[in-house]
Amino acid sequence: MKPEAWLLLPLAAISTSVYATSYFTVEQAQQAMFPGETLVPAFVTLSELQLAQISKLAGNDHGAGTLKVWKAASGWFFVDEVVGKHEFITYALALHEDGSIKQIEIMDYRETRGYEVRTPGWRKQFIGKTLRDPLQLNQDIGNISGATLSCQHITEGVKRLLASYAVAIK
Amino acid sequence: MYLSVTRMHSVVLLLCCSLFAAAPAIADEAELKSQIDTLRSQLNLLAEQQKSLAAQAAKAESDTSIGGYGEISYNNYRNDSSRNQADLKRFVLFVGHRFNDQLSFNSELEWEHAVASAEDKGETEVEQMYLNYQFANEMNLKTGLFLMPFGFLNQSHEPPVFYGVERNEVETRIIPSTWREGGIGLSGSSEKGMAWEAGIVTGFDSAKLDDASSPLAGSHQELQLARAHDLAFYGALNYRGTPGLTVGGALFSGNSTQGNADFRADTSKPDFSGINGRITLWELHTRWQKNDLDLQALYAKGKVSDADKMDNVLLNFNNTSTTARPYLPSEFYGWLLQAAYTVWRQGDMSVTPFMRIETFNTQSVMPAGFGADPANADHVSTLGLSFKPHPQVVYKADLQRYRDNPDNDRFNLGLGYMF
Repeated sequence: MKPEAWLLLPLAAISTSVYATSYFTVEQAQQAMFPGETLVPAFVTLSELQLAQISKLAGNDHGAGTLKVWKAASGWFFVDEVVGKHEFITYALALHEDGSIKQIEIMDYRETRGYEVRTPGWRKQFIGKTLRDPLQLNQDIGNISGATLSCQHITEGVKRLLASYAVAIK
Repeated sequence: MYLSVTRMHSVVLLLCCSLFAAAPAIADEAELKSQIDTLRSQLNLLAEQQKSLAAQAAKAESDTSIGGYGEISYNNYRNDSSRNQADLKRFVLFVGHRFNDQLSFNSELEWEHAVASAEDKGETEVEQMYLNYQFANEMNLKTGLFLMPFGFLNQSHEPPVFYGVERNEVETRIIPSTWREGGIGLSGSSEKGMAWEAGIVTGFDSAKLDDASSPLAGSHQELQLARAHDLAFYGALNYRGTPGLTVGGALFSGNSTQGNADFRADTSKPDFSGINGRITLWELHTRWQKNDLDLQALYAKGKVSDADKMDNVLLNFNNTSTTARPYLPSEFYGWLLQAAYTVWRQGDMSVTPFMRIETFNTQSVMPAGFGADPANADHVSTLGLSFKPHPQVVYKADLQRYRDNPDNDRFNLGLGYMF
């Protein structure tokens, strides 16, 4: 019996929950940020020591114990989650092979204000950044007045992902 | 949720079994490749499912959210120390609840001046209470009691987000922060960062005016048994497509005599029959935040049509009843310029000095025959700083100079937090 038939069954059984405010699924974000490339999952469970090193490098304490990361031919793809004001924001971060930021996309945004974090203008500020950059709101990352918490937390999340890359992946 | 996790495990098991089943030495390379592709898609979908499960778990834990802010102030009057005052300005709690992906509820409760009772000067209020429906395309519909989208302070007045112990005069006396109305509001945001909002809400009741130094604050209704004969419309536009830059404005317009309701309920009050008293308020503002510099500019202006007719009614009323009701202005306006610069940062801590100049005149045009009180206009300069041990906590100190009413010169200290 062809194995494909068996594989197709669980495929149909898995469903992805669709939010009214969901802009990209994981696959859509991958295609948008690494078009035509094949991405291989490379999830990392961070040790206590690694978490401590990441906190020190990034200057902030947020972050899950598991790094959701995929390896592409030309870089790395992360999925992460931060809090806005009351709601979670899910975003995808793409790094070049050298670890600098290629692109950021907001996957889910559920707050009722602050949608401007999705604008190309706000997101392109991150392009090319590395850990050597301040990645500081109101310094090299412009704020969106009235959405400061969302901007602050996304910026901190990005910095922590760069630190996680440096500690656990590079 | 538990069932899905079990399903996930059996899928992984199934995948592994399928892999082994497909791995004999003579397997077709193309077939292997297509199986790997399928596996990859499934792993992506698993990651997606894990993401949604995590979000569901988070949602179950935090469907109801609590937030808040508070501030305490100390004012020292340089020319009359008997006016010195320390006050627990406000203690505020936000309570919100998410019903589903589209529908949520937001509220704001406030306690002012620490103690509220019949004998005390404090106040307790429900400042906001509204339902919010989120459409898929970033449009939101609000119904209930909510803040008007005017200026900077009205919608963002948590102590760590504004400079100075006291809220600025323009956004207190001209734009009556904290200004909220009850009704319906629709808002949206374009891909390029242009946000708009418009709605129909309750308006002012000019028969209530009790304070010429703050005309709209003195006639706002706050959805407290509000007269609703005259509803008002409002609109706001804000461009935030360039990071760090905000340019925007807003307009409000509605009649304010409410069908002469106060007189009809009590004929011992002034009779405003036949008068509309349309109140219009508009403002323009801009903000630039970059490289630790934070610049703000704002201009606000209000008009009361038929102020002449209403003031003549009040004049007769005051003469015949020996009361001293304040008069309505025909026009009132204010503007401000502010610059702040963060001079020191370390980890979560920062120090930001700032400077602000503002002009306000709550009686800039009075109807013929009615004089303006010089106490209701001034040019104020404020110099101070904010020390934040954490982005959500602030200690403030500043000096304020009132050019035309120097008795109001003061030194202020304050503390505040938000979460």
